[in-house]
Amino acid sequence: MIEFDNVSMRFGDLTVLEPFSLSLAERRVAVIGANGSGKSTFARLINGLLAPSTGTVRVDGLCTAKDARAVRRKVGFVFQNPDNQIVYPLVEEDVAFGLKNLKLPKAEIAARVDAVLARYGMESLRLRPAHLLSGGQKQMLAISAVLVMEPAYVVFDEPTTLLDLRNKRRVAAAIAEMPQTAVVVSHDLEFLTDFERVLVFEAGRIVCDAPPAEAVPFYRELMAAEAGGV
Amino acid sequence: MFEICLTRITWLHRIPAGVKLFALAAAGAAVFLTDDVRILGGLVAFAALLPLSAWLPARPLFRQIAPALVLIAALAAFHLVTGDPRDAFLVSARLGTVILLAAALTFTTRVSAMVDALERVLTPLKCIGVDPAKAGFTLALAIRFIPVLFTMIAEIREAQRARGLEGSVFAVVMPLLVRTLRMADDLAEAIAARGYDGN
Repeated sequence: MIEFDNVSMRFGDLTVLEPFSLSLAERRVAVIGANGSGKSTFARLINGLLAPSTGTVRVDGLCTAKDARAVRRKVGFVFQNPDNQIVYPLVEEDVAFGLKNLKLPKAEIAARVDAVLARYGMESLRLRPAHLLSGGQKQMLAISAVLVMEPAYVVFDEPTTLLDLRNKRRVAAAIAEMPQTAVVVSHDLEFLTDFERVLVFEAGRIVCDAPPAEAVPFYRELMAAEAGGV
Repeated sequence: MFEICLTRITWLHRIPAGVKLFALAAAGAAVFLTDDVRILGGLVAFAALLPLSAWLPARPLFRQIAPALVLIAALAAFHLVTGDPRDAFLVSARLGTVILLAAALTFTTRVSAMVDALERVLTPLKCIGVDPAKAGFTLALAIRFIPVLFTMIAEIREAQRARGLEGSVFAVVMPLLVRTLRMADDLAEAIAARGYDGN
């Protein structure tokens, strides 16, 4: 379970997240909101990439500020731009990178890399230089490289923003099939219908916390009202 | 740029990464320790024949070394114009040897193998504060991100051409700097998220 207790976030004088408390126990949680509303900051708090200005964030009881290393083993993170998160030049080397950081034996690393590449249909690309992959292939590589570490939770920060429709569907299918708990920050509202819970952010506050059937229309109305006010 | 060929394993692939790295370093030093035209001619010929002997695919190999060949040609032309054909040959042979050998190395060696070899070589230097893991990781990142930077430059130049700024170096350098710094921030986050803690 992911728990936020009286959490707020400030960068200097700028308040990015107003104080809030909530618990996330659902398998699929989506986070939506306008640009600059605090979604990505919220996502980064979950695996300790950012420490809250006030309050505590806990993942299965581990404090993200004090136990960041242990938390990152539990919580994988997929970023918007795969080019900025692929570390090694070859596909199979990059997938193995996180496992080497876990100091796993070579045989186990090889077995896990084989398994994840097979699972996501990337076996034929294993010896391909990452810079020669398509955008969709790069994002699947980024997802594989996180899932190979077998985290209990995976946070996705706008994973489909840079992709075409076919690759968006491919990534959405991969997220839907994975056994882990997923927190997905997204602007692609059509992919959120199967989610159990949606948080709507607006100017650093959670203004709606409901199932998609309720939260998505609320968000559309919010955006329409803002567009009308411009 | 920094392509690797692993579809067909040749005798060059089978040589351990550490041996290849050492040979490259030794050759790099050797070409600058001699002025003998015959020795340098022999070295550059050897370096050119090496990829051929392993039947490495010519086109991607040429693509990899082409920018360096342009630089060598410019330097050679400069020396020819200033009336020193011997220097033109020496500069071309020295740079050509190192570039061809480096291309043969990167073309036939996994970066992870190079990193492992570099870490082993640097381990004895831990006592004077050298961190082998960080040095190896820096090498991996450099090789990974050079093609990304080239792609970024091409994108920025295209965008600036569309705005009629094709002649301005400043118009390319500034956005490149901003994007590179932003990418470095994102990369640092991504590396931390994947469990890298600097050790």
